[in-house]
Amino acid sequence: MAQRSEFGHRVLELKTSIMGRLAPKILSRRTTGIDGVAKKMAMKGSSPEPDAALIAELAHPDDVPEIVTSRTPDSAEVGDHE
Amino acid sequence: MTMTNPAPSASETTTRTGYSVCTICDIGCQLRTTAENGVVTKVEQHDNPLLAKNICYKGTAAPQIHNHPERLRVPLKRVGERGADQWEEISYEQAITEIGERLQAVIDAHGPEAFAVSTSGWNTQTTHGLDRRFMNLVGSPNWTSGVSLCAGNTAAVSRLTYGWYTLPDFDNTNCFVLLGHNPRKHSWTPIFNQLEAARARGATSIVVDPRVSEQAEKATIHLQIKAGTDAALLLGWVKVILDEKLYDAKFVEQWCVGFEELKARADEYPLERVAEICGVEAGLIAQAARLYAEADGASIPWTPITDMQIDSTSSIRLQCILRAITGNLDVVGGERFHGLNPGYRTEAELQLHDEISPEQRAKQVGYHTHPAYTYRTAEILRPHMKRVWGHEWIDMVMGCHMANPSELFRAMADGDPYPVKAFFTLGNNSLMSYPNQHQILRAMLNQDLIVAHEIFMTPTAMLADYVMPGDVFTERSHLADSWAWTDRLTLNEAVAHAPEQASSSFRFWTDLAHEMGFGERFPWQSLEEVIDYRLEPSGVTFEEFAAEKYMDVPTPKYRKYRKTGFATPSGKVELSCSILGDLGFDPLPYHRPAPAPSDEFPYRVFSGVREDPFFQTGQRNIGVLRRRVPSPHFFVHPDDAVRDGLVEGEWAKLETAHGEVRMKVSIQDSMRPGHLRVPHGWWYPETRGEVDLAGAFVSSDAVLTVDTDDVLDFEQGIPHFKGYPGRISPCDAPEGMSAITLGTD
Repeated sequence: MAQRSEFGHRVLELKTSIMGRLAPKILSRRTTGIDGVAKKMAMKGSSPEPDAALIAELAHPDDVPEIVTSRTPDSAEVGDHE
Repeated sequence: MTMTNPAPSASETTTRTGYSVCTICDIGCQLRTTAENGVVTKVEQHDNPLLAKNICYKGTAAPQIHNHPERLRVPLKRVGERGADQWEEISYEQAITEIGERLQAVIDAHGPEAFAVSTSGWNTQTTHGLDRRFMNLVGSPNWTSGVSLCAGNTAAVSRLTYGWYTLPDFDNTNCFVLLGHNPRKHSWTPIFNQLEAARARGATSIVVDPRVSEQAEKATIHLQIKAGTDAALLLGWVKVILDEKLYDAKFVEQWCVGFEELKARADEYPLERVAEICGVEAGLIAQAARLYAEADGASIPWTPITDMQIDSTSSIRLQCILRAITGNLDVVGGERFHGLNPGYRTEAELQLHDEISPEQRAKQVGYHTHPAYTYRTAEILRPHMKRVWGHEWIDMVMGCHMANPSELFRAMADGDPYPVKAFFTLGNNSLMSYPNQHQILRAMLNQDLIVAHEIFMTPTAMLADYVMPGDVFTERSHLADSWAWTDRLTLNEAVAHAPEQASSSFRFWTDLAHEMGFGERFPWQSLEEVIDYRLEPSGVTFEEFAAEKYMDVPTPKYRKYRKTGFATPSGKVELSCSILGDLGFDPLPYHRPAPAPSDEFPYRVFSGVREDPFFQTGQRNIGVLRRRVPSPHFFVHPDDAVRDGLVEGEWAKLETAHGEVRMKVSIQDSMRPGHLRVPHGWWYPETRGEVDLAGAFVSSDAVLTVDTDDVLDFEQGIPHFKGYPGRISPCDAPEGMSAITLGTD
């Protein structure tokens, strides 16, 4: 880091400042106008398709019973203690 | 009584989808949540592709968690012996009335300092500082939290060095250092995603870890140190950076004090000495130091590992010092001081810290003995915080004016230095969340009044007099501010109905204040009202905010110190810390050896480790999560397993001088020989009623550690969880374990 010049600092700070000013447009609910353009710019290169592998990892099977105690009647786990 | 934030109508028949901030762990991912007829049914990725990857399988289990058949829905009052887990159901109004009367009786008998609170803001979320407000108005300074061992203490110690707490500029960093921290796809997910993106951009990484962790496998350099020797390693880095003049001389000259003293201290740690302490080759240590120092923008993200060591204060300060001397403070690609969001009042402002007298503040346990994160340092920093950040009291990551938990439980158990007789625990399984679990149990058994506010019955709640059902993130409005860790605000919309007798922590404290006669100091009738109050500086209401956006991120500003200086007594980065020096501690960082392994206890044990399906002590009762890790495992190196007769998947007993726990064995090539890794927070909710306190003493890592003064970090008074002596041997399975635990289901 010791090598970065004052000019180098200022260039990087200007770039991040510009991105920072676009952020509210990117993170708004609006999808038209300037907000829509900002969103398209920010998302350039990112796939519009959902990540199927991630979605599969996030899914939980429907048939897994909850883990409950003997205090809850009709439990799949009641009487399951050894 | 004022009933605030009543549950929405149960007759509603709609489908509602909203933006959420997940609170199943502490990272706060932004999600989309759907409820049908007031019942949460689905959690999905955010619809903004930039945020969509920030989700894990704990978050998508929210429907199973929030609709669990054993979720607490009605206030409970103890009817048997404390801890017997026998209850009667009572109304919310009756509970508040009785709690108010009994708390007043404790205060009248023992003074307000006899009232203590332990909470986890990650879980409760919507307190808005009203717990401290309540305590300050009655006169008690004894608030503590798990953040005293994790992140909150990092914030407080960082302030001693440069008056704020940094966050890496992940989007622009070219090198990052992970000190034992191991963000994964399903743990600390947004951090994991940012690290992956940085690597994809070409950033280098250095991982310091006794284990070849997932992050270590991808690292440019992996330093497989002996557990608990981080401070020595970082002193070695400082030595290399100073000797080889890799530091930012201009920044050091203009903005740092104590450079010569630091240099003299670093000279006490030649690389040969550091290599011997850490068990890593000297050349590799030097190589790592150069890689960090020479990067054009480098960062050291927060790590829980150095928060829990015998020389934690030095370890944290060394990270601060490295950031400073390499010129990485508040620069692009380095680490930012985010500052406060100017449109949102801070929780500290609502907490009213000027309402409690200086005399009462000085009674805070830890104030005189281990003051680093107590009121004592916060008081010293007041004028400097005001000068730089505009407020005298700022509570970063909830951790900047806390009571010391070890001293608190000592006071509760033994009346030393004075009796603490009323203990409220909110969203916090306190029994298992701090060291010396046996002492905590003794402390809780010595109370006149315990109130637990939870969504499930926990071992801690089983010890309470009253158990109040809490709400969850799908059921309430919120604007999350990350407690000044960042300056962003994120939107959480209520989509589901809370149980009729459940309360947010906001509602609990508000109603208790009304019950005890100072309700006029709690003027907000709903969560939306208190958020509106906090949003006043922005000129918008919560409703207007929610209609416009789901996130507010102020434009970043860098190198702000050039206008304001740093919020320290000198106005500069204090490499030699004047506050610590004035309080009688070593103002310079040092390495302090932990208790060494012996013939009797030959291993270095590191505990407090997080597993993907769980957050702290939670979620062991959630079927879809528990089945991913049905039982706890010690990680052990193959050579050690052979020597000690340990068998993969079989049970073993880990003993320290202070306690023993049982878990299964996992033999891992990734472990450094002579080390044992212990996951955090295990109990067995399904054994409630059959095993004492639902197995809270079977596998909990808090049983293994003590918190006597000889093993506490001097400045903070936090315990050593990373490298303490232990031994392991094969054993039978504990009695009463369920089929899922035993693997026979």
